[in-house]
Amino acid sequence: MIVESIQLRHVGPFRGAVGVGPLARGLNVLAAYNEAGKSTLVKALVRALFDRHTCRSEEIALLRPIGTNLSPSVCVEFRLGGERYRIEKTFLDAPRSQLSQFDGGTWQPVAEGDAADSRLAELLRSGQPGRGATKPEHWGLFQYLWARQGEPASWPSWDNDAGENVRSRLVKIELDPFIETLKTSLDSTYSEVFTDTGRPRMHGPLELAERALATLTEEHQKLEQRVRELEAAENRFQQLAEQIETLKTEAENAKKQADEVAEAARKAELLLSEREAKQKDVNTAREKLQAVNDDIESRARLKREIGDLEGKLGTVRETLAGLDKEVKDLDRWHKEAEATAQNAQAVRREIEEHLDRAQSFLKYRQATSDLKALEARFDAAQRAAEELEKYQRQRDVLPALTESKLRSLQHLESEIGKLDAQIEVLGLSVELTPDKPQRIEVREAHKSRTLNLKAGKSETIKGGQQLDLRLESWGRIRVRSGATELAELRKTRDDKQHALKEALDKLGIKTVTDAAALVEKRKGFDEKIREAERELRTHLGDSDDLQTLETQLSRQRALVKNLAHSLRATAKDKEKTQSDWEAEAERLRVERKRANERMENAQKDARQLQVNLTDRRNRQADARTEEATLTAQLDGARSRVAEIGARYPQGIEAAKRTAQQQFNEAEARLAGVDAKLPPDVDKLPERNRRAARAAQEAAENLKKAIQERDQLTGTLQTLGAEGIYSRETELLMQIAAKQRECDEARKRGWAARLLYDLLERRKQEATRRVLAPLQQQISAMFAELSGERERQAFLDAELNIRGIGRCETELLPFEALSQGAKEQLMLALRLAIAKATSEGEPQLLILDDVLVNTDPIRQQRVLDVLQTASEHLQILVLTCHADRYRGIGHPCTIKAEPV
Amino acid sequence: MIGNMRFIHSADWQLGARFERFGTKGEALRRARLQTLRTALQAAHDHATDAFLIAGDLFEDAQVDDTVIEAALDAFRQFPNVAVFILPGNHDPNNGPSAVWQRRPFEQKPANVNLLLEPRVVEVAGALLVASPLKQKRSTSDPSQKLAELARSLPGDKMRIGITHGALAIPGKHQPNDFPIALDAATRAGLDYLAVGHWHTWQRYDQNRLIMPGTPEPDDFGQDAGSVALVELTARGHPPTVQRLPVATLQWTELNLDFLNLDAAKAAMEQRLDSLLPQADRIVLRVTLTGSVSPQLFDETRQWLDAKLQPYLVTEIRDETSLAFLPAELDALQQQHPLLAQTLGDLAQMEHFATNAPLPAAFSPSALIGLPEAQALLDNAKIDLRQLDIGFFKLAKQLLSAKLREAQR
Repeated sequence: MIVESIQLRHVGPFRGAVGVGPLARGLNVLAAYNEAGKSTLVKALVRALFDRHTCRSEEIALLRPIGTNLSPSVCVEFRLGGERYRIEKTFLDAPRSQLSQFDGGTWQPVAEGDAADSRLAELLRSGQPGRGATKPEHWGLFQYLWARQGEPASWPSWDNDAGENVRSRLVKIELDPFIETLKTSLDSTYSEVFTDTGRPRMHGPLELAERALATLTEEHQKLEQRVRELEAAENRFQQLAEQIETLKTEAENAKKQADEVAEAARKAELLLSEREAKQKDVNTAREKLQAVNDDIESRARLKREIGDLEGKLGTVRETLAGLDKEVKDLDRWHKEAEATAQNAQAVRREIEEHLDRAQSFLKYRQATSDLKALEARFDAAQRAAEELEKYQRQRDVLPALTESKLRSLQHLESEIGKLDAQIEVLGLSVELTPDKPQRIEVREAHKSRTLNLKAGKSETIKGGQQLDLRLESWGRIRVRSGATELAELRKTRDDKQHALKEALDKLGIKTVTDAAALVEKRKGFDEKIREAERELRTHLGDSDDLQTLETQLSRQRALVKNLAHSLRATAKDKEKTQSDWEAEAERLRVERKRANERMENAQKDARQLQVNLTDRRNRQADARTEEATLTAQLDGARSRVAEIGARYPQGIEAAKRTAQQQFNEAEARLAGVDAKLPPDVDKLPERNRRAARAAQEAAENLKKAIQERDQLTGTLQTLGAEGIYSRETELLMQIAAKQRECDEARKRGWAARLLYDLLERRKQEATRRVLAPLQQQISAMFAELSGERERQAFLDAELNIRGIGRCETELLPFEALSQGAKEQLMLALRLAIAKATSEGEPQLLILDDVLVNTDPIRQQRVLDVLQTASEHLQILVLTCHADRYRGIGHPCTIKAEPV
Repeated sequence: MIGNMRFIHSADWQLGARFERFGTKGEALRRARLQTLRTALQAAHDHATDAFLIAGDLFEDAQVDDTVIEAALDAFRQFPNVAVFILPGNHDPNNGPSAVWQRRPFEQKPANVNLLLEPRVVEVAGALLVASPLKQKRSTSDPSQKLAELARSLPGDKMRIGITHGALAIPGKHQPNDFPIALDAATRAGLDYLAVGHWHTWQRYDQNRLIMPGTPEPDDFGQDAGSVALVELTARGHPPTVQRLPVATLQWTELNLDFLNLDAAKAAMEQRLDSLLPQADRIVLRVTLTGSVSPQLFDETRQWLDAKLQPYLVTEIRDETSLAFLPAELDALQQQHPLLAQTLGDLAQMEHFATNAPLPAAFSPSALIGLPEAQALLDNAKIDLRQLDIGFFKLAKQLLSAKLREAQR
C-alpha cells in the first residue's frame, strides 16, 4: 500500500483542515517542531484505515480537539494492488464512512458506512476487535511497519495471521497446514489424557482408569485380608479339630487320675482320723503314767525337803536365843550412856547462861559509851547548822545580782560610753576664746547652761545637732550640724541610759560600780555558807540531816535504858569493870568449850549403842520371821506327802505298774494304725487338689476349644458364603484389565505427546535453518547502520532478536544493548519485513522520531540505508530534527487546507 | 492277588470355571466341561470300571453355584453303577464348614458317590484305595507322605492305589507351597498306582505308577490335555497298564497368520478354516497375527479375519504384529509432508533407543534425533523411557496413522 495523501479536519491540534501530500513513493520526510501534529497525523491515518467509523472509544475520542465537540474527520488516499482508493471517515458525532475508488478520472463511491469499513478491512487484510478501538494486532502488516514515537525498540507479537504471514515471508517457509492440523489433533489427544503439567487430566481416561484401578486395588487388598482371615480361620479350624481330640483324651485321663487320687486321699483321711483317736489314747495313758511317776518323785523330794527344813529351823532357833541376850545388854548400856550425855548437857547450859550475862554487861557498857559520843556529835552539828543559817540570812538580804547580770550592766554602760563618744564626734564642737571675760548661755535640746569664759582661755563647747549660744551683749549664735545620724545615736544612747537606770533602780543601787561591789559581797557570803555546810556534814556523818541524827540519838538512849533494866545488875556486878567482865567472859568460853566436848562424847557413845541395839533387834526380828517361815514350809511339805499317799490307796508303786501297762497297750494300737497308712500320706491332699485342678483345667480347655471351633464353624460358613476366592479371581482379572486400560491410556497420551514434540522439533529445526538468511540480512543492515561489521544479529525461532555478537556463544542480549543499538536493530528488522512484504505490493514504513538515540555519525548511515530502502518502499519519516534529514527524500509539510 | 482292578483316573475338572477372558462365550466352555464329565462317566460305564477316581479339583472353588454341584451330582446319578470317588483338591479343599463338600446338595448325593474327605483307606473291588485329601489351599507339605503312613499298616497282599492332589516336585517347575509331591511317591508309599491331580497337562512318573492325567476338558491353548487315564492293575506289585482316553468336548486350536507373505498366509488360513468349519461349534480357536504390517493393511486384514472367524464357537485373536510404513508410503510422506516423514524417522530412532528394535532401512541414523536430545524431549514431557516398549511404539504408529487418515479426510 502506498499512501498518497492524508487530510484531517477537527483532529487533535487542528481545528481546521490540514493535509499532507502528495507523498512520494520513496522516502518522505515530514519535519516539524514538537507538538506540530506529526504523530497525530499518523494516528488519524491509522484510525481511518482500521477503525469502524462508529467507534466511540477513548482512542477515537482523543482525536477530537480539546475543549470542543467537533467531530474529527480523516481522508486518506492510497494506492493498493494497482488501484487508487480514498477513504473518508468522520467519527463521533454524525459518524460517516465512505470508500471511493478512482476510476475513469473520477472518484467513484465503492461503499458507505459499515460496508465501507468492511471492504477496507478486506483490502488491507486487517482485523476487527469485538468492540472498542483496534489495536496493533488488528492492523495486519502495518503493526510491524509503523515504528511509533517512544516505542522504537518494542515489537508487536508474531502470534497472529499477519505475524505468521510476515514470518513465513521472511523465512520463506511454507507452513504445512497439514502438520499444524496433525499437531492440533495430537495435542487434543494428549490433552484428553494429560494436563499441561503432565499429570493425568481430571475425568480423563487415564485418571478415571487410575481411579478405578485404585478402587479395585483397595478392594483387592481388603479382599486379600478377608482371604487371609478365611485361611487363618480354616487353619485354625484344622488345628482345633486336632487339638480337640488331644484335649478330650487329656481331659479323660486327667479326670481318671483325679478320681484315683481323690479315693486314695479319702481312705488316707479315714485312717488319719483313726490314728488321731489312737494317738489320744496313747497321750492319755502317757499322762497317767507320767502323773504317777511325778507323784513318786514328788514324794521323795518332799521328804528330802522336810529333812532340810528341820535342820534349818534348829539353826534359826539357836541364833534367835543368842540375839535375845545381846539385845538385853545393849539396851541397858544405852540407857546409861544417855544419862551421862544429859548431865553433860546440863553443865554446858549453865556455863552458857553465865557467859551470856557477862557478854550482856559488856554490851551495856559499849552502848553507854556510844551514847556519849553521839550526843557530842549532835551538839556540834547543831551549832554548825545555826551558823549556816546566819550566813544565808545575811546573803539573802542583798539584792539578787549575778555575775552575768553584772556583766550585762557593765556592757550597757560601756555602750553608752561609746555612743557618747560617737555623739561627740558627730556633734558640734565650738571653741571659744574670748578676748575678755564673757558670760555665755548654752542652750541645747531644751537644756541650757551658762558658762563663764575667761579672757584668752579657750573653751570648747560640744553639742549635738544644734547649739544655741547667747553671748551677753552680743547676741545669739546658733550653730547647726549637717550630720543626720546624730539624732539616732542620741536616741539610742538615751534609751540605753534609761534601761541602765531602770536595772539599777530595780536592784536598788545607783551605779554599776555599786553593782560590782554587791556581787563581791555576795560571793563572800557564798563562801561562808559553803564552809558552814561542810562543817555540818562532818558532824552529821551517816545521817542525812540533823533531825535524823537526833532520832539516832534517841534510839541509842533507849537502848542503854533497856539494857540496864534487863541486866538487873547486882552490887557486885556493878563493881566489876570492863576488864573484869571481859576476863569473865573469856573464862566462861573456855569452860563452855570443855563442857561441849564432854557432852558430845557422851552423846556419841549413846548413839553408837543405839545403833548396835537397833541392829540386834532387826536381826532378832528377821530370825523370828525365818523361824515362822520354816515352820510353815515344814508343815506344808508334810501335808503334801500325806496327800500323795492318800491318792493311791493301793499303793503308789502298784499304781505305777498299772499305768505303765496301759500306756504300752495304747502305743501298740497306734502302731497298728500307722502300719496301714500309705507312704507320703501327708502329700495326698495337695496331690488331690492338683489332680482336681488339672482335671478342671483340661475340661475347661476342651470346652474352650469346642466353643472356638463352633464359633469358627459359623465364621467359616459366613466367609465361605461370601464367595471370597471367586471374587478375588474376578478382582484380579478386573485389576489386570484396568491396569491394561491405564497403560493404554497413558501410552496413548504419551504417544500423542511424543509425536507432537517430534513434529514440533522438526518444524523448529526447519525454521531455524532458514533463519540464517534473515539473520544475515538484518546483520548486514545493522552493520550498515552502526558501522559494526564484526557483530551480527541473532534471532530465535520466534523471529525475536536475541541479541548481537561475534558468534552465538558471545551473544550480548537484546535487553542489554543500548537504546541506540536497539533502535537500529529494530529498524533493520522493520526494513527487512517491509522489504520482504513489498515484493508483491509496495509497503508503507512509518518511522516516527525513532532514531532519537542515534548519534550523528550513525545518523548518516541511517540516511544511507533509508535512501536505499526507499527504492522499494514508501518510507515516511516524522522528525522534529529537520536538519538531520536535509537533502534527502521528499520533504513534506502539514498544510492548512481551505475549509 | 485278588483279581484285576480297572478304574478311570481323572482330575482337575474345575466345574464352574468362569472363563472371563472369553466374555459371554464362557458359558459355552462351562457347559462343555459338564458334557465332558458325562462323556468320561460313559466311558467308565462302557469299560466296566470298578471305580471312577477324581483326584482333586472337581469344582473350580467352594463358591460355585449349587446348580453346578447339582449338575455334577446329576451326572453321577445317571451312572449308578459307576462308583465315583472324589478327593478334595486345592481348589476345593475340605477346609471346614466353608468347604464345598458341606453344601446342601451333598446331603442328598447319590449312593455311588463317595467323598474322600479324610485320610483313610477304602476297599474297592478287593483293592485298597488310600486317600490323602487336601484341607487347605496352600501348603509346603507333601500329601503323599500321609499315604505312606496309612499304607504301612495295610495287608501286604492287596493292591494299593493311592489318590492325592498336588504339584510334582520337579526342580524349578513347582512352587514350594503348592503341595509338592515327590516324584517317587508311589514307590515310597509302596503303592501299585498313585492317582494325582493338579496340573492340567498329562504327566507320568515313577515307572508309570504316578500319573497326572491333566484336565479332561482343556481350558487353554497349548495343553496336552483332554483325556482321562484308564488304568488296569492286575496284581500287587505289577506295573499298571495306563491308557489315555480322550473325552474332551471342545477342540482348542491355534492358527497363525504372518504378514510377511500375506497373500499366501491368507490363502492357507482360509483353507485351514474351511477344514475346521464343520466342527466350528466345538472349536475354540486362536489366531495369532505376526510380522510387520502397515496400519492400513492391518486393518483390512483384520476385517477379513473377523468375518472368517464368525462361525466358530469361541475365538481369540492375538496381535503380535509390528506396525511399519511401506517404502512407498514413506516416499509419499517425504514428498507431501517432509516434516512428517522426518518425525517418523525420529520415532523409529526412539524405538531403537528404547527397545533396541532395528532401525528401518529407509532411515539414516545420522539424520535422526540423537539420544541426549531424545532423552531431554522425553524428560520435558515427563515420559519415562524405561516404560516405552514395542507395544508403545506400535501404538504411536497406529495413532499417527489414524491421525493421518483423519487429517487427510
